[in-house]
Amino acid sequence: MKRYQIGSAAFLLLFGAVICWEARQLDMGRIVKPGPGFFPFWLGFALVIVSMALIIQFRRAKAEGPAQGLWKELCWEKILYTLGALLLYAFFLESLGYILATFLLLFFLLRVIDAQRWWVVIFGSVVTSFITFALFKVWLQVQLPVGLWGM
Amino acid sequence: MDFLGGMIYGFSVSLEPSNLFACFMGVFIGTLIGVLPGIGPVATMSILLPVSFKMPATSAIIMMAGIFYGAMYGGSTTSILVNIPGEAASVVTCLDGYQMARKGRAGPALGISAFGSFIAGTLGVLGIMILAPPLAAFAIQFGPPEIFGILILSFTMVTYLAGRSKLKAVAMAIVGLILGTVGLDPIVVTPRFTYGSVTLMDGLGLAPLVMGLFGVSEVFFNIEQRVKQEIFKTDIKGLFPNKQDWKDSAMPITRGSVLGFFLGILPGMGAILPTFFSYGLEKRLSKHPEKFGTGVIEGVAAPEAANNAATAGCMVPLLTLGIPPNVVMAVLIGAFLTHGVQPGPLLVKEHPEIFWGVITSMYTGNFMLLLLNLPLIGLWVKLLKVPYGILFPLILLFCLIGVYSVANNSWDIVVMLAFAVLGYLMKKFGYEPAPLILAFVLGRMAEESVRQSLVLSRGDLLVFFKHPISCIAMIIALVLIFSPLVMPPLKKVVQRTRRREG
Repeated sequence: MKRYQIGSAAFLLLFGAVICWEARQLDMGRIVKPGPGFFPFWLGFALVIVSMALIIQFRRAKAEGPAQGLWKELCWEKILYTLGALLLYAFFLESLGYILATFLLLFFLLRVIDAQRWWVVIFGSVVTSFITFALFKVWLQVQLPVGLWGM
Repeated sequence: MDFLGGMIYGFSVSLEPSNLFACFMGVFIGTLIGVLPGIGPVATMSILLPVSFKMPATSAIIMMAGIFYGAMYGGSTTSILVNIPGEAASVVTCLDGYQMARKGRAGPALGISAFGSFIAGTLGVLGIMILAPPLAAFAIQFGPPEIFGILILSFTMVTYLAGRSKLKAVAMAIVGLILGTVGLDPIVVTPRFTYGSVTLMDGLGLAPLVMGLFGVSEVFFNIEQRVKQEIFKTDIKGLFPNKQDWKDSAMPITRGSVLGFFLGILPGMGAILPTFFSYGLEKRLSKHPEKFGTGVIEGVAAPEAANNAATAGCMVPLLTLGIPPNVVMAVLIGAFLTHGVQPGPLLVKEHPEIFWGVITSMYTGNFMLLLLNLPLIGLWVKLLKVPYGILFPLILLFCLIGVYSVANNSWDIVVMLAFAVLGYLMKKFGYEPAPLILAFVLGRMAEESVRQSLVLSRGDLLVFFKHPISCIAMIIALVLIFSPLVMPPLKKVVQRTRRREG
């Protein structure tokens, strides 16, 4: 746990340092007339200081219980599958059109991530795709991409 | 416009059929997501942000506000019946509400929480009406140093009140401010951190950020653990609390309302912390504090009143200063800005229809909620039985539709997913997303005010201590920042002297 915590603070430290570096490339201006780089630079600097303080705090803290992974006994692979499906959805939404893409996504989420009964999966994904299309595109006039056959 | 005139004008706006409908939609959706665990008002409001583009500004904001206070009603239902707070602001309600349900008094518990919420909501709306106009008139004189001072105080309060680690909250606030600088510089219009991307020129969107951090990451967090929902089987009969119940809860509701309203005004409080304070207060004042936690009605009435009054209280700084005191208000400010309306001291003058319309709509909304929640409670309970396996694809789908339709841009989905992963990791490592979002929204204002102050004062860093209001704000902030260093030694001294005396 402690190691993970220090890792997270180290990441913030690195992020702050990168921001400082990048802000230096912008015009810093002077204190009388601060430029675009002024605010980001001091923010990055502050983040570096705070994350150093965090690292010191974590190092001093007593190890809490046995060293245990954050992902033990959890089905974290479900997250990877879901994330993958959502990314694919983002890439294919415009070419497949809303209804088809949504049907495929819901089918996958209902069946693979959490095994629902087959009729729930099929009924749920078909009906939801059409109803949300009608609700958002037709009624609320939200722009949703259409693919084949105007769906 | 005077108080009475404003109120009458406000009701003439909020009772227009389209606004009445917007209000109904808001409180209905609010109750719905309040009942459903795993999706809260923050994510819902950002999902509906693009839908609200199409509505007139007043209706959009009426609907958004309705979601917030509606969620407070819905959240208590699950706390009482299932011991699962549908909303973080109803955590305290679980303590006595669930115990009441187990004793077969689910009805009165639900009843008192709805009536208590209604009374508190009404008092809260009255509070805004009295407090907001003079405050707005006062805030008109604020210049950049005053605004910066108040922002610093807000950030300090938010991190000071943060849950576990204040240092982590500070880090998150800084990250939020940094993310807020992406895009064009507000003063000289130089692109920053855009790396040649046209999408990033407009800055990161509030919707993908909020939906990623609050909506999708919450789903990720929930699907990795197998939660079993258990519904406590109880007959809900007699929603009306009896005479004794009313006698026991009259004062707690009043105290909870007042406390909740004033705490809600403070930055970083939100609707959650006031419930804890109010529960604590009732326990301390009670003649039988040992009974708290075993199902006493005061333990339900007070915090439920507090969270509703707080939703009204936190409208005050938003409407008068243009500074959102918590994340929900930060999203609400997004709704204002997409309609080109800048909330702040000028709002009451420039857009009286929004100012008075929204405030009075909260009153009609609270009334609708009473009607929605008492007779329809059976329906909400049924909703609880929907398994998470069916619920989470829907939550994800709504986030996808919401984020895509902001700009019809698939890249926004990718941005949302990136923040979802970030939010998931933050949750794992114990970093809170709330300070990040709040700082992100206020970042531009903070940068403008500090740079303008420096220009106006010709580079005098002490300018923030030379204006009385910003000076007071800065001093309070400094006291809060250094109090953890001073308080523990002070406590030790006090304890030592006590021991000596004893």
